[in-house]
Amino acid sequence: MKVFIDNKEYNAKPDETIIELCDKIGVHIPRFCYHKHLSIVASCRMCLVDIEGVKYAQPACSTPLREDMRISTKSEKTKSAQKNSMEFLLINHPLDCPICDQGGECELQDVSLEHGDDHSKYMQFKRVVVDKDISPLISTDMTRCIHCSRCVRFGEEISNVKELGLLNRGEDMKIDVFIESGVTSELSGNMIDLCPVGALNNKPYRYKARTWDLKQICGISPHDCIGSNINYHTYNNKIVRAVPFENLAINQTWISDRDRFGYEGIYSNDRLDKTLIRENGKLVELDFDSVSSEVNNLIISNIKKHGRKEIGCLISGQSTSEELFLFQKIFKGLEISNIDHRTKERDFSYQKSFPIMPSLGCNIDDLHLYKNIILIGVNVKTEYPILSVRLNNATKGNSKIYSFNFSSLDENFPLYYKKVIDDNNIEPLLNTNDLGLDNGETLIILGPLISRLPNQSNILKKVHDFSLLIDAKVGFLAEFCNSTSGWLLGNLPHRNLGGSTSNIIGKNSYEMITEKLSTYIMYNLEPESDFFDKTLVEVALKSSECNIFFTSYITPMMEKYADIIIPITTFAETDGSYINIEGRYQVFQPVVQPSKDIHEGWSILNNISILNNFGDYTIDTIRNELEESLKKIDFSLSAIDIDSIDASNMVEDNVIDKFTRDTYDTDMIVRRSESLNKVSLSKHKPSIKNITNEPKNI
Amino acid sequence: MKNIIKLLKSLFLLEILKGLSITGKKLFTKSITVQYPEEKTPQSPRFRGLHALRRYPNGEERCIGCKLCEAVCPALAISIDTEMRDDGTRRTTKYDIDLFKCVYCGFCEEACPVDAVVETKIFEFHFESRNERVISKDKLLEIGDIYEKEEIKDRNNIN
Repeated sequence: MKVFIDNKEYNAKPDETIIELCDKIGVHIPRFCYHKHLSIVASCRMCLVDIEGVKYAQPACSTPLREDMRISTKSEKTKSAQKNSMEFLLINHPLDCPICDQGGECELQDVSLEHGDDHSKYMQFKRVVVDKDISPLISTDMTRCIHCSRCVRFGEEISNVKELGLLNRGEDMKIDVFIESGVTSELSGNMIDLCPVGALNNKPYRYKARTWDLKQICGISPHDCIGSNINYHTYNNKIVRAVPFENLAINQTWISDRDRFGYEGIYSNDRLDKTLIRENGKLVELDFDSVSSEVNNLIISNIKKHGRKEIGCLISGQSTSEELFLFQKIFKGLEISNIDHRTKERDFSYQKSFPIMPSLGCNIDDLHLYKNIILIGVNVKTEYPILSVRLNNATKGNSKIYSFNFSSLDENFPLYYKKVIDDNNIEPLLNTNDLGLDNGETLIILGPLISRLPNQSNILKKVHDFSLLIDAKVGFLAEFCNSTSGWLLGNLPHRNLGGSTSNIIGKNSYEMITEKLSTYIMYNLEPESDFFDKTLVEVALKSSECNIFFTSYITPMMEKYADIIIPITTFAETDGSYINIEGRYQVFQPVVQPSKDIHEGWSILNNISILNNFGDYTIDTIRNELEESLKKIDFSLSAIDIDSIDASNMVEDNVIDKFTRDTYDTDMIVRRSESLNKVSLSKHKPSIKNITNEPKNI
Repeated sequence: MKNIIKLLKSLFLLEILKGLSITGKKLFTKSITVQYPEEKTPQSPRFRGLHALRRYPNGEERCIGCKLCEAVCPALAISIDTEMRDDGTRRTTKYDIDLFKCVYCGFCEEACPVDAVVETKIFEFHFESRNERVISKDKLLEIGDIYEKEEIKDRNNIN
């Protein structure tokens, strides 16, 4: 289809709107209510353009292109239409740009500079709207609102939680919550980005910096295995806020609140900033230069004393691929086979027949192609908020979503079928007739809660049987952001780098903890919360002779039992990479510089590697070697071989205390984010309206 | 002919007499030399001297920490940190001006939306050590308090 924009000929697709084509070809049209991922309302009237043969200017966002349409985006008619719209929008907008956090990145500011008049004809009083405390994450200045309704449409269409609404009409129209402090969704922070003015703003960031002061560096989300792309904004070497980086294959233009405010955890008071070593029962400071030799001596002397079987190496799935690579390189090199990253699991009889890595089984972008999506043991709304956007989108197509979870939690998307299952009874699944599966491709997604069960092998086997019965794919969602690397890079007792089977099968994390070894090396793990059972870990650490911790945060248990604690950088201060659940390898760079005595985890491990003659690496050589080893992997072997699952070794000791994974309790950084803690508090305690009888000073 | 006139002029020292006549005139007119520091020349109400931060009549500081002066400063002499004060308003926690860097262009004064930062008529100041060149918020507010009346007068004169 041939159209003319500013007298230039372009080819348009049928059903394309004017604004879509203009965005594609780079012709700027001012807009407020239009957003490419939201529905079209054409309410702001800012995108009016002059179309030849049409008497009045038409909104570009809602006018579809027709054959031979001639549009002029710079004619007098367009300009005057836009100027008039601007004048009306500015009538009630306050002139508080100097104190508005949106100032400098405000769409209204930009557009009024370009299309607005330098003075207002309006002389009457301006509208004032009372603010409400809607959420601990979003600050409101509703007087600034221009009623574009992007936030309302976001709630209706994307997050599928209707939290904000347009109340009243005309002059009295306002965006408001139905319940005070009512904005609690896990994606609420996106409304901050959507708001074209400063009506909804980032509360923790409030008044901290101006937009032109900020430095922007891209990072990858360390809080879930989706791997959302994030832009971190820093001011004076400190992260002050995070905004999404558009990646249409992963997170589109959204990020979850966990990714947006999780960075606050790196400024927690628990942060360890110097190496501590136990001397005469007390932890004392140690100079960084002697750290790696000290650690190495401890390991070597303990190997000599107790043998290699008495050493347990545990690493978190939140560590970067580089750290995971060097960790297994050193300890497998020292012929220690007790190495594991699956610290929250207890039943490992499945491990031999498990695929090379847990994978979603399809691209995140392709989820909507599945006719049936069966979720087992996962509450997508709280655990993987970004995925709930995708699943919500899938239900708008032809997908049916089934949920089997241990507790009756709500989802942000319509469920076709929902059932609460028992931890060891997955039988209800096997009734295919009950489910009413559609013809077409089916995807079964197993959540991390399944892996925590004492009978997970059994469940895996049943799920696999079931998947064969209905000809479905089985996908996984991992516990940590980089659990996939943990599998691929051989941080496992039974596999080496690249998934090759190792000759000696070492102890898994459960055995390491329950069998009370003499030395524990814990990397990036919090003994209090990153294990299946806190008390068992405490018993193990107490009875062991030597405990080495590499950690960003110091916890009471470390203080009590550690022999040496080495501070390492968090995700924001190091070079690194994560492999997300699709198998996508994403590299990131440091966003801020750590304090003086905190060093990058991989460089400390590299020093230990040099001492043992396992090679001297730089970040590039690690990545090259990673790529080399991953090239060799035969991903075709990535199916569960059910015959070899030995489900008889079920661990039947203690019961899991809770069957949910809290949104803001997934990893050690999120747990320390102040703002997110406020959210979980406000969720658990419904707000009581503040009634103060004290007279106000006027 | 021209050459002859030139010759006559130089012969009778006409140029010298002409020059000395100006000197002679000035001998009897009022002197414009000012005996600084006892005497001072008049200053324009727009004079751009030492900076100050002003307050509202009720004692509240004017500055709202918008950082426009910092942004506009061509010499990067101003550095500001802001935070939310307990009453919910935007305020500065740090407002430093480096007087060595400052070129006294007055852009900060022009950019300020609340007329908080001003350049007073003070031009006689010195430092005893290099560290003193950076003046802090407290000092700026103090200067503002002292010169507030003069500032108001100057502002009225301009308008």
